[in-house]
Amino acid sequence: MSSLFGAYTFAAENAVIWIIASYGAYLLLRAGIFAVPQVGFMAIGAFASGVWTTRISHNIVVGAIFGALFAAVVGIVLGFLLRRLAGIYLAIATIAFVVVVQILCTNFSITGGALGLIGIPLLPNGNSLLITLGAVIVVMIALSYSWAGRAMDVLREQSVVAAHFGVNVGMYRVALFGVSGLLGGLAGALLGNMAGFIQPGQFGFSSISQIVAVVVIGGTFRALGPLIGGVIVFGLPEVVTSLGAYATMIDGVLLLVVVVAVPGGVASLPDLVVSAARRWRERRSVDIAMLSQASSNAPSTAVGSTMTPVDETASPSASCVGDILMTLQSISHSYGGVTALDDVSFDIRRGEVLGLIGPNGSGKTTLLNVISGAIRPKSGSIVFESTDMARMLGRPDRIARAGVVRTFQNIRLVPSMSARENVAFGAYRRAPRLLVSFSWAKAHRASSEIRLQTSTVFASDRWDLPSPNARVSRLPYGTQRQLEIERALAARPKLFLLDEPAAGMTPTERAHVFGRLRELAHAGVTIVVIEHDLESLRMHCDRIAVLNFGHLLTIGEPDQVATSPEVAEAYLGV
Amino acid sequence: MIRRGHIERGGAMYFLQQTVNGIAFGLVLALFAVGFSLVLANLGVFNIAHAAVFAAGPLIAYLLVIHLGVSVWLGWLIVIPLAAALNVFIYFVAVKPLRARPDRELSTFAACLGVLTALQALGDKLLNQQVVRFPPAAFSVTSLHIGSLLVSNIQILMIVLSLVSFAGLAYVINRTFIGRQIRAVAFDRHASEFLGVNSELVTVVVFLVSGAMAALAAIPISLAYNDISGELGNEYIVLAMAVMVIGGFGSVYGTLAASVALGVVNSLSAAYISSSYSEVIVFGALLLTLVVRPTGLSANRQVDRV
Repeated sequence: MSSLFGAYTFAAENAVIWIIASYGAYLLLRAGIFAVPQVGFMAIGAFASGVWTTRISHNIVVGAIFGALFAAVVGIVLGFLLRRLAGIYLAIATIAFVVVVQILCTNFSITGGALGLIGIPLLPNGNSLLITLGAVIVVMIALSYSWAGRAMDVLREQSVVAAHFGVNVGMYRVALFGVSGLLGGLAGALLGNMAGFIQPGQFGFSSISQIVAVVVIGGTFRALGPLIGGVIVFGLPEVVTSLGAYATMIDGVLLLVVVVAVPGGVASLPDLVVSAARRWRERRSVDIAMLSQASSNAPSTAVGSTMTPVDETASPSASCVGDILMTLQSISHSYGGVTALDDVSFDIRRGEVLGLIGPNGSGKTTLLNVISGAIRPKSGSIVFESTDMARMLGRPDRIARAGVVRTFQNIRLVPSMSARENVAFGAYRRAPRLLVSFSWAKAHRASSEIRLQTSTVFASDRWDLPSPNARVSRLPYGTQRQLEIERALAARPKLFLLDEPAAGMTPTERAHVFGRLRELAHAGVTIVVIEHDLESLRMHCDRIAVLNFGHLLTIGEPDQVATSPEVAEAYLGV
Repeated sequence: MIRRGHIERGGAMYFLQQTVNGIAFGLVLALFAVGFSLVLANLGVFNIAHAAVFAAGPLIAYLLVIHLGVSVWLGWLIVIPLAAALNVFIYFVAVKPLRARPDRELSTFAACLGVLTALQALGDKLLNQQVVRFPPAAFSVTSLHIGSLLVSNIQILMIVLSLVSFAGLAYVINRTFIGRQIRAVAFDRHASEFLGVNSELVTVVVFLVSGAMAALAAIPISLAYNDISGELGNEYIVLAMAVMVIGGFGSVYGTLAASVALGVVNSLSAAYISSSYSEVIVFGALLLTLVVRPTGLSANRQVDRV
């Protein structure tokens, strides 16, 4: 038996297998799914493959594939069953899953009971393990640069946003459980092929700790994280043999220290260095700029004063303004006993700017939530572009893919992404779906088109956008709002919903926002905007709808609405 | 799981005997589970290192008995404050520093898992990687005949201890000022801070109580099964998770009822079906509860608002 690892064969092969399994855990954690079913998947893969290779055929490859697929199917079923769980509940459920699998393996006679299986055919050498790990890592790196990888990051940090830009949250979750099962099952099968035997005792609680240690020490949101974590967790005791007896203790302490001191794991250390360096450079360049400005007293460039006509958001079908884009029919909704919307019906016309106004608690945001799918109304129907949306109600991802996109009342940018990445994510609903289109060329074209559009956004002097690489959490409030609007526009909405886009803005910023909405309307985007300031709406909207206590008071031309006595009574309290 | 009396299999007496065994175990498990769930209700974090606090009790008591020659009962008294202190230590190293993290749940779980791993390894090191027992001379098991039921002194201890502890806990939670504060913080941490509750202090108290309850439960369990190791807590922490979920997070009575039910089911299924399948039944019930009714039997659900 020749090996690349020399004296360390067993330790190294063991490490490689656990790293493969850890990649399955990484997939779930990266998408913000706090679940640790991995060890259960490993047990299933190990015993499925073990039974196959000891009873049916000796072919290791077929056995490993069988084990991996078996665990993948279990993963899909588990992901589906646990689809409504989140947070600690999900973690506990998956720990229970591991325990149940272990108990079942101990009790089935086909899996050899507590003694497990022996006589599993051995791998000729460790090369195939290395090749497998290499392939897994390549796929993981590709994934992290793909739209699916982006979607996972947004799911983790702003799952509501992910859903509202077209990510099918439930499907992602089930699919990730499936792939996680595939990797766990594969690793389990390989574990049997490496040692020649497997026992249920290998797949218990302490193995959960090991996998979590590998993933968290390495880093949950870097494709190389589990590799680095595995090298540390399994490599350290081998390198420093005197540590041997204390290896487990050190693993535990290391896990604690990394979680507390290095939130992104060891794999994020280079990032920390880079961003520290960038901050230092920025500070220096600001100093220099201030110095030079002070000396030359150069006039600062006016920002956002030129109104360039939009072209990139124009939708071809929007040439005829005035026909009906969406019809809301008797929408009602209540929270517990409180009626938030009561039999609201109206039309939204193509190409108009429709203002939505009403006192606090009048149901404006609820109405927007119903249209965008955040809420499923208790009754009523919506027709969009002459299709009944009955099957989309309450499903923001489907509604987003149909072309209805929104911004949020409180800012929901993704903190870990740059300004450019945030805006680019808006295009998710138009992103290539490899599994659907089956064409690399088409996918590539679509991706580069989106990239080009994103850079156009930042190149325009339309408004005060930051540098594309800026970290969004450091940006001023008004700028973050503008980024949110640009992100929604990247989706090229047919209907664009804005929930108080100008709240908390300065008058200048407010004027910019409404100016931008006007331009968009000219370009053919239909807009529904919630706003408290009646004057802004009067100046910029084609029509205004007034809500009060969940009723639609009136809808019509701004001047007509503003002078209506019942509106004055309800809204202005006159 | 509990040492069984010498009563013939089958018959009503056997059934009753197994039920008593189950109740005794369930009550003690409830002590551990309620302590665990107090922390969960208080902070919304998953302190898996609680298993190490559980294991630390018997382990330290064993070392005291062996090296200092104290009795098990004195050892027990000594380890209760030590376990409480250990739990507060865990709060300060692994829970508090992560409170502001966006991925708080995962990072706290991972940090506590790190503490658990390290403490277990330390415990095993102290015991020279062996599973040990209290020396027979350190305590004696005597059995009492109540009618034709056979009840050991340890079982009586388990039942009385749990009932007294729960009465005490219920008194503190329902009738005292700190108890009201604990409930307030569990219900809405933010709002109670605005109303002047020192939530930090309340949290420390909760960790103290929770640690003490772990040690309180651990000693009788280690006496009943008489094996001590660094990993002692692992089996019980998963059982505690099960009863916590089935009983409903943060619900003391729910957890208590679920624990006793688990103890009885465990004991009866071990007696009548097969000991190995009792756990399948318990965890099957856990998974089923989570799938069918994700928030447990007594629910207060929170909805993510847009």
